[in-house]
Amino acid sequence: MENKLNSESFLEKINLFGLKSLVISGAKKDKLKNVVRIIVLDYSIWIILFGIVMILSSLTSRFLTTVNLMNILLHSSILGVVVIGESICLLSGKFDLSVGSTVGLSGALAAWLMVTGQPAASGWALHPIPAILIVLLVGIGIGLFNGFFIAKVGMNPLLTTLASMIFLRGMALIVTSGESLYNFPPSYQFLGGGTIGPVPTAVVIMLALYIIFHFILNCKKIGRHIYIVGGNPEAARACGISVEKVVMLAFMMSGFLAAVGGILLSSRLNSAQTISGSGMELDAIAASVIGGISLQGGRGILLNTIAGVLVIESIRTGLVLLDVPAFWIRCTMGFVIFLAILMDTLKVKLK
Amino acid sequence: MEKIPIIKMVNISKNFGAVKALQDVNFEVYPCEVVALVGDNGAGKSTLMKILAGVYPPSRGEIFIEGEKVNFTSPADAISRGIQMIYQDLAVADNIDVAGNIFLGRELEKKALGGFTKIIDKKRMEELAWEALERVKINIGSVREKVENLSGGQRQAVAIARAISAKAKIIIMDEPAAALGVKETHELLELIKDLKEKKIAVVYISHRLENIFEVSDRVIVLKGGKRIADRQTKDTTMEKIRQLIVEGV
Ligand SMILES: Nc1ncnc2c1ncn2[C@@H]1O[C@H](COP(=O)(O)OP(=O)(O)OP(=O)(O)O)[C@@H](O)[C@H]1O
Ligand SMILES: [Mg+2]
Repeated sequence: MENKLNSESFLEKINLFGLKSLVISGAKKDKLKNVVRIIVLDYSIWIILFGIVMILSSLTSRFLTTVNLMNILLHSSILGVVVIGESICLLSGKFDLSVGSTVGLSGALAAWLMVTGQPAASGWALHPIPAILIVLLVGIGIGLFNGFFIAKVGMNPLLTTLASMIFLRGMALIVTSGESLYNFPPSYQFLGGGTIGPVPTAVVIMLALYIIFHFILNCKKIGRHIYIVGGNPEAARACGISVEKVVMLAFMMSGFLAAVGGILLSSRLNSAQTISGSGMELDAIAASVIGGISLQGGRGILLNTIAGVLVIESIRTGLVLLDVPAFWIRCTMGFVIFLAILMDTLKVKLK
Repeated sequence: MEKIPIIKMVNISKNFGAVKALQDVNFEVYPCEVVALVGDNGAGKSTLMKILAGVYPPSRGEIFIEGEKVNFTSPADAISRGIQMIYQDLAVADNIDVAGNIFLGRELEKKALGGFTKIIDKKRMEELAWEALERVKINIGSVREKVENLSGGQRQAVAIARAISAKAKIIIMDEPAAALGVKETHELLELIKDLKEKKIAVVYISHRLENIFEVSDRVIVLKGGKRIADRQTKDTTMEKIRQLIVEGV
C-alpha cells in the first residue's frame, strides 16, 4: 500500500489544486508515458489553439498584433465568464440555454437602475454597488427558477431553459422599453472597459472567477458532487447525495455567472442593447464542448474551456480580419460547433 | 429469545403500475444475523431491499428500525440510519476514481486556506480506500484509477468496499458475487463472517445456494412477490430450498 502511494508521488507534485483529474493509471506504468498521455489526452485543446493561432497569423499579418490579441482577450473575457456557468451545468448533466438572455437582461436591468437622463430608465440613479448586487441576485434567482423546475419537477432542461431564454429576452425589452440605454457611472464602466496595469479589468475578473470555480469544482465537496451527479445520478442518489440540490446549485451558479457576463458586457459597451448576449448560449456551449466538457455530463476540466473560448474568438476575429463575409462566418462557426460535438460523441464511443 | 429485530418490515406491498412486485411481505433481521433472501428472477428481492434502502417508498406497509417506525424518503435517510446497500445494478460513478467511489457522498474534508474553508481530503480518502480494498482482498492497481477502466469484478469490489467502510448496522448485498471469480467469492464469504463477528447484520441475495448455506443463519424465500418460507439454515437443506424456489412448496 505504502509502495503504491509513493510511486505516484512524483505525479502528486504536479497536482496543483486537483489539476490532475489527469488520471494516473497503474503504479507500474512508465511515469513519462503517463505525463505525455496526460498532456496529449487532457490538454490537447491548447495545442489545437496554438495551431489555429499559427494558421491565422500566417494568413493575415493583422492577426498577431497587440491590438488584435487584446481585442480577442477582451471578447473572450465576457464569453469566458458565461462559459464557466455553462460548463458547470453541463458537468452536472444538464444544459442552460438561458444564459444569453440572462446576459441581456442583466445589462438592461443594470442600466435601468443606474442610468440617468433617459425616460426609459428608472430614474433612481442607483449607486453601482447596490445595482450590481440586485443584478447578481436576479441572475441567481433565474438559475434557481430553472433548476427548481428541472430538478424538482423533472422538466426537460433543454426546453425549460429555451422557454426561459425567450421569456427573459422579453423581460429585457420590457425593462428598457425596447430602447438602448447608455452612459453608465464611471466606476461601473471600469469593470468592462478599464484596465488594471496593462491588463483589462474584465480579463482579471474572468481569470479570478476561473480560479475560484476551478477550486470549487476540484476541491470542494459540492464540486465533486456535481461531477458525480453528472456521471451517474442514480449512484449519487443511492449514496445519499441530494441530486435535486446539486442540480439547482449548478443552475444558480450558471445564472450568477451569466449575470456577471451581462454586467461586463454592458459596462464595456457603456450601453445596454436589447439584443445584447443573444446567441451567446450557443457560443458558450460550443466553447465548453471544444474545451472538452462532455455533453453526457460528469467529464471535463474547467480550465480547458478557456482554450475553448479562445478558439472560438480567434476563429471569429480571424475570419473578420480575412474579410470573410458575415454569412460565411456564421456557417463556419456552425461547422466548428458541429465538429466539437462530433468529437465529444466519438470520444464517448471509443471508451 | 425475545430479541428486538434491528429491521422489521411489516406487510410491505409494492406496485409498479399494474405489476404487483410485492404483496404483504414481512421481513425481519435480528442483530448479528446473516439473512439470505432467495427467489426466482422477478420474485421481488431487489425491490424489497430497495424499499429498505430508501430507493422506493412502499405502496403499503411499515418499516421499523430497532423498534422505531421510520419513513424513508430517500437513500440518504436510510444511510443515516445505518443501512448500506450494494446494488445489483452497480451504483458506481464511472467518471470518478476508485477512492472517490469508495467515499461517494461522504467525502472526507479538511480545513484549508488557513481554516477559511474546507476542502476534500484526497490523501486521507486514498489511504482509507486502500484499507477498505485490502479487506475485500481484490487487487486494484491504483485508487486513482477511474472506475470505468476496471473489470466487472473490480467494480463490484469497489461497491463492496464502499459499503463496509461506511458506518453501518446492516449491509444489504444484492448479488454481490455475480461478477466475482471463485477466489474472490470465497474472500467475500469470509468477509461476511468477519462482519457478523463485528456485530454487523447482513442481508445476502444470491442464486448460488452453496454460498448461502456457507454463510447464512436464516433463509427467506420469495415467490411472485410473496414470502413463502422462512427457515433456519441449519434446519433445512439446499434441496428443500431449491424446491421452494421452483415449485413453491
Ligand atoms: N422500477 C421498476 N419499474 C417497474 N417494474 C419494476 C421495477 N423494478 C422491478 N420491477 C418489477 O418488479 C418485479 C420484481 O423485480 P425485482 O427486481 O425485485 O426482482 P428480483 O427478485 O430482484 O429478480 P432478480 O433475481 O432477477 O434480480 C419484476 O416483475 C420487475 O419487472
Ligand atoms: Mg434483483
